[in-house]
Amino acid sequence: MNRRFSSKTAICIFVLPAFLLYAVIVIFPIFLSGYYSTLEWDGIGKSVFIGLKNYVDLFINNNDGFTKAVMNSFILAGLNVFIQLPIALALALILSRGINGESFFRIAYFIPVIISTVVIGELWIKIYNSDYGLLNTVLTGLGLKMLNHQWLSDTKVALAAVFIPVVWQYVGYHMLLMYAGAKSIPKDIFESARIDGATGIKTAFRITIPLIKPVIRVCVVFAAVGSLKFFDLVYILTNGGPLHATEVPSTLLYSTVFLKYMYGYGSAMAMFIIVECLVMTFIIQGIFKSGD
Amino acid sequence: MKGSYLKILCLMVAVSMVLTLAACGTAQGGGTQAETTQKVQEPVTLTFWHTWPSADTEPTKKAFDKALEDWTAANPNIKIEVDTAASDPYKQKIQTAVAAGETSDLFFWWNAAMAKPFVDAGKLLALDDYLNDGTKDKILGDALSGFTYDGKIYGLPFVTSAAFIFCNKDVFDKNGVKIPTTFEELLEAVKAFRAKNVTPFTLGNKERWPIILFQNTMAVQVAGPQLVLDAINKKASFEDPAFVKAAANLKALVDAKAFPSDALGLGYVDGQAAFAKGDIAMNYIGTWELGNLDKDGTALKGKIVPIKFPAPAGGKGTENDIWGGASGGFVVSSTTKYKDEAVKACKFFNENTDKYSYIYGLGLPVWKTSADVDAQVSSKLLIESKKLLANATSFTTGWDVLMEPKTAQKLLDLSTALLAGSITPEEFAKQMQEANK
Repeated sequence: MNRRFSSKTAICIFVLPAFLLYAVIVIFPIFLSGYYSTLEWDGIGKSVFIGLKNYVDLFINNNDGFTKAVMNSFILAGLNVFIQLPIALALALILSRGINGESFFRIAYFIPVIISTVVIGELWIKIYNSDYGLLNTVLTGLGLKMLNHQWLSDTKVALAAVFIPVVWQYVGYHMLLMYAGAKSIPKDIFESARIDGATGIKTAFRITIPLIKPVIRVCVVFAAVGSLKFFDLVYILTNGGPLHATEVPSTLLYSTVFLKYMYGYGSAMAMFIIVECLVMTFIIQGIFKSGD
Repeated sequence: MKGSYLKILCLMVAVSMVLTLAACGTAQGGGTQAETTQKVQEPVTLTFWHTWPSADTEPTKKAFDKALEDWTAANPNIKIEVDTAASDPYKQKIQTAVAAGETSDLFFWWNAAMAKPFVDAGKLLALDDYLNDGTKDKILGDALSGFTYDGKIYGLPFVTSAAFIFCNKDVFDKNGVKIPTTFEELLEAVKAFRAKNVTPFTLGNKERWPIILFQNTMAVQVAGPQLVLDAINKKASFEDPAFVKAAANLKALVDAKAFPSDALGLGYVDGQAAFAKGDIAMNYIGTWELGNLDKDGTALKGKIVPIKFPAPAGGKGTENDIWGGASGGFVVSSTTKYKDEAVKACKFFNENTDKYSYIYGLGLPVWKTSADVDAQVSSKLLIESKKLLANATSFTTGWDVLMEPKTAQKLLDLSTALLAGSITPEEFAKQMQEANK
């Protein structure tokens, strides 16, 4: 029975339906976008083949802020990998040691992940409101009125203001992945470590973290790649404004296609984002492999 | 044990498949029987998409729903299925549907340059053949021109809007400021309000278009409406000194702190809500907001005085060159299966949403109204606004509808940059001309 199920033909047949679905819904549209990126097209009417001109306009003669948007997405990736993930890791390690209220905290930290992004966006817009928003009111109440800002209207602070909810939202998601990884480590290892006199922090650094390295690698890939193509909260909070201060590649793509009716040029942006995410994935896998 | 479990599972799957086939069979059999015994008077369902999801934020929904009530009573066989989305998401929804060939039978859309891509791609039904029954005479002025492309008409307009500065008389009186009649007086009023820590204008510019009401109006008042139209149609240059002067006038307002400090990030709806709280002096917006400005039970009821935007001295235009016009209406998709019913609905809904918007005080009618309809208009504010238009010499619609989408987006960005103080009037004119080449 095992031999029959593991023969190459059997494997192909069982994988085929899912693979077909994936090919039609994901792979084929990517190639189609690649074709569209060589056209000048408004998405509705006739199209004109212009070869690689869209890419030249995108990278060499750029005048719509795409380079700055890509920089912003790298900043977000950096924030997510170096701030969000360590926080998630710390929480996961603390929770997995079995403290009081473990399941309560687990749920509490995961709630931002499951609340609709639109709700979170609207909530933070109200928090950031200059007149009656929670942030400015609390700062004034603490006697820190000079720290009051027009959070979403001031080009100097808007980027930070937008990225904070983004980093906050997915801490719970990564925490849950690492928590599951930490929980699956056999208890005997911890016992023998304790017998040998290892403290909590030493156990964390020398035992837990190395053993959940595969999970951490997955989290880094998700965090980094997700940041490069992030859309939801930025669109809701500022739509890329004010004056494109918080523009990320996906919001720029959205306004290019749906407000400027430039479907071909937008497809070129989309292709760049796809390639950039793939390259990032390979780089991260490479980093982790060489660290092994 | 494992073998028999598998056998039972297979049996259950087989039985359920057979049952499904049997059910389909019976339904089909029953269907054909009914068809042959009745005369076919099938009810028609038309899909209808518009951009007013909630009556609280988009008062036009009230007028549409009342028209829908009238339609359902008069046409029980033609059902209307409505779907909605607001503002930018609505534009995206329609664009995607049009590109995929899955548009609804009727939908709301803006005219001039915004409908042109659809017309060029053949996605809208030309209505000329259906309009010879007197419909054209019922529409005022040249409101049909917005929807006319290459001599053919592709949509009907409803409601025309005009922009006025709605002044909160209480705020003016409390601070001892008089209502301005010239642009110079407006600047003085702005400075006087700021000296007393009162926000002169409300503005929620996150979506970037509210500022162009100011920019458009000021450009028309300095350059005159003809030069503006010529520039938009690429027959004149945006670097004409008149446009630079108009941009400088806007800069003067910005420098005098006429606008709230969080205007760049505040949403349009939030900006209107801020005005409704009652401590902001002026709100330069179109008559589509009348439903909210005159709402019973708010801090604004009875306190609002509309004025025309005061013109600067020495310009080619005056305060009677009004920002406004009929900028949209309901159109019919060229792929609709029920052309006659859809066009009938198109005419009905355009005329009646127009009528009810007028009655509910939401906008100015662009279809002829009879005296008994005039008498039903309960909004004093609307009637006052309508009176102000008695001497109007021209109407110029928002440039974001008149210009090609790419150029329109650049205009929004440049005007927002003027508001933020990050470009000079000369740069504004230069970049505007480059974008419009």
